[in-house]
Amino acid sequence: MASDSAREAEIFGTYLAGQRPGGDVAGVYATAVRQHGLESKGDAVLAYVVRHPGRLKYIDAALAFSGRESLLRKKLFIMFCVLEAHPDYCDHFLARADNQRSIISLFFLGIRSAMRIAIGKMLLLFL
Amino acid sequence: MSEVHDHIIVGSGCTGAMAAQTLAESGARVLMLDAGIRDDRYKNRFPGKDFIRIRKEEPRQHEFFLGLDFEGLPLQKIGTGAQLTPQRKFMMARTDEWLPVLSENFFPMESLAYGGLGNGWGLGCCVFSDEEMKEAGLDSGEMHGAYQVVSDRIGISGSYDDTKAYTCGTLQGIMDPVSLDRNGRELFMKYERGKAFLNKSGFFMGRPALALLTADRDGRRKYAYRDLDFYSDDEESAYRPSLTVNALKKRNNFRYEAGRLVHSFSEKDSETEVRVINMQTGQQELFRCRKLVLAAGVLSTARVVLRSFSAYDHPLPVLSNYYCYVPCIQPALMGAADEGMKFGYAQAALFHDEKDKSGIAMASLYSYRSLMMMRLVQQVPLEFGTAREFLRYLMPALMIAGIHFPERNGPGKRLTLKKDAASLTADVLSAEYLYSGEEKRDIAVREKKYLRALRKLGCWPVRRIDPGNGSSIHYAGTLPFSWKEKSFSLSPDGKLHGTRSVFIADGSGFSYLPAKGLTFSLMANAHNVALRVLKE
Repeated sequence: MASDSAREAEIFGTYLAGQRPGGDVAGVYATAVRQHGLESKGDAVLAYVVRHPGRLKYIDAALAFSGRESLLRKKLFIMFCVLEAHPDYCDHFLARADNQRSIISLFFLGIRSAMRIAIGKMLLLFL
Repeated sequence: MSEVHDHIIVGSGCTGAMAAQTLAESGARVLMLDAGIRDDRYKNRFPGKDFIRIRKEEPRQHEFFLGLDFEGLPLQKIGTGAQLTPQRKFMMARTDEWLPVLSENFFPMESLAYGGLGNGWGLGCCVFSDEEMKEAGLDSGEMHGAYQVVSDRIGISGSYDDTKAYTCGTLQGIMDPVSLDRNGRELFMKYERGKAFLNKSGFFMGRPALALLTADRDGRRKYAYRDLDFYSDDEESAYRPSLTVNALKKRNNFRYEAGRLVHSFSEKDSETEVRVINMQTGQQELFRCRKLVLAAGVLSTARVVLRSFSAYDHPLPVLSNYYCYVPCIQPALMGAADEGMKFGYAQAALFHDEKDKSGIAMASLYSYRSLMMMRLVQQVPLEFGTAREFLRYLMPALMIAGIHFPERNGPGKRLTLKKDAASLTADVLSAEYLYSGEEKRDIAVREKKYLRALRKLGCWPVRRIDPGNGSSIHYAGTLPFSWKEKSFSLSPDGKLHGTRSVFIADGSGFSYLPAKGLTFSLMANAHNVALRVLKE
């Protein structure tokens, strides 16, 4: 179980912060998951993204749209919170000073997200 | 036989603390009975840094922001108390066990904490107008004096601006308001530009009066702009009722008993017996007094009164302001750099007053930072990575408008106490809270007006969130004031009809619930009730 959590922490941390989480992040994540009784329990979607970490962004996008209560989303959310409350990663969560580009950036982020939702929906059909 | 106290006060929240201070200062012997749950695990735990420095420097900050047991992870759906941080969670501790509520449409927040719901008070102070006091059943002459007494005790900062009639009224000795942050400055700039239109539409905006010190006073330090308002009271610049109770404990004529849940009372000859459950042992205890002052909070007081008269299944009216909140974006601030100075209390109060019988509505406007991205991200229907990118742009521009609507009684708003052998108190409070079609229409119309006003103020509403009935955490009207001697009502002096010596100092008597922040008026009324207790 501990190694499951460590692997999840590595995948989720890399996905959310763009780098393999270091320090005590994996340990804090594992404790938080345990405290909330969210151990894996053979969840098919979770097992799939652990096998195919590169597809996590598509699956997450699809679940954000219509699967918010899924175990994967809950665990991703826990990692999100752990990273936000960690000094090494907090800059990823504080305001970005980019006044000029903001609207254009938001537009392209939205387009990219819509594409990910479509791909994620298709992937989920095969699970 | 146990000692007979002059006065027993039930509850240590804002009303209990105010009534107790008035009684104790008269020299009477006062006993406060209280559940008194505390959580000192977080006290003085944080270094003397501001929010951003803590985020950037403290390696174990997750213990503070997520909680020592990760109890602060906001995994649940948005509802009453969704904004509570780990440091405030103790406010609701053990209420499921001791204060069960059965309802499909009413989700109140109650507290068994030392200091009660006052631990999470947003500090907004408003004076009721004479019309509002009259409709609520309060004596406006006495209330004006009591407002000043309470203001002098707790310390209020604010401004005599466009909304002074709604906030400070005629209060003297108000401290300067807290400084605005960038969102607040932007908001007031837009208000000045659109003032004529907004005022014509019935909207008036000003600085809220806050029970927050902007100058050192009585050993309390002035507000330090650390942006830790949802987490820490270490500086004691914010008023909390525990400050008053802590000071009272130093007096010889004041005694405080924690771990006591008051069950019921009965009057015997010249004394009142108060039956109490010791929350540690589960045993019943008996305390005696000449006069009993209930200030346990409206719902708990209703339980005590109904039990005392064995009035199970007897319906009582109840009032709770309709409340919704609206996250808004200030486009001018999208993508702005993080500003050092920010705070969690309201930047502005936006009142809607069409000078008619519908009553005044109130929105409090907050900028957003210290509750962190985690409380927003699940509301964004995007994958977490992209949602984070979105929010980094949007958070500097985010304002939250919390809108309260005035509330009147209706046939669908009822409480009853039902027997329940499975409960620790052998009963459960059953509640129904349903709006009539007309009420729903009125609320919808007013909401639309608010959304229009917010746009005029440069705040573009993103969505509207309704956390459910009871989420305003303002409750009243279960035992309405009445000149007539009828059961389950209060005489205008706060005495429970049908009793000789039982007074009620919380909001149970208010037969109308204005939308304005309620706590200041509750405290003023509690002071008045205590004065009448002394006069009798």
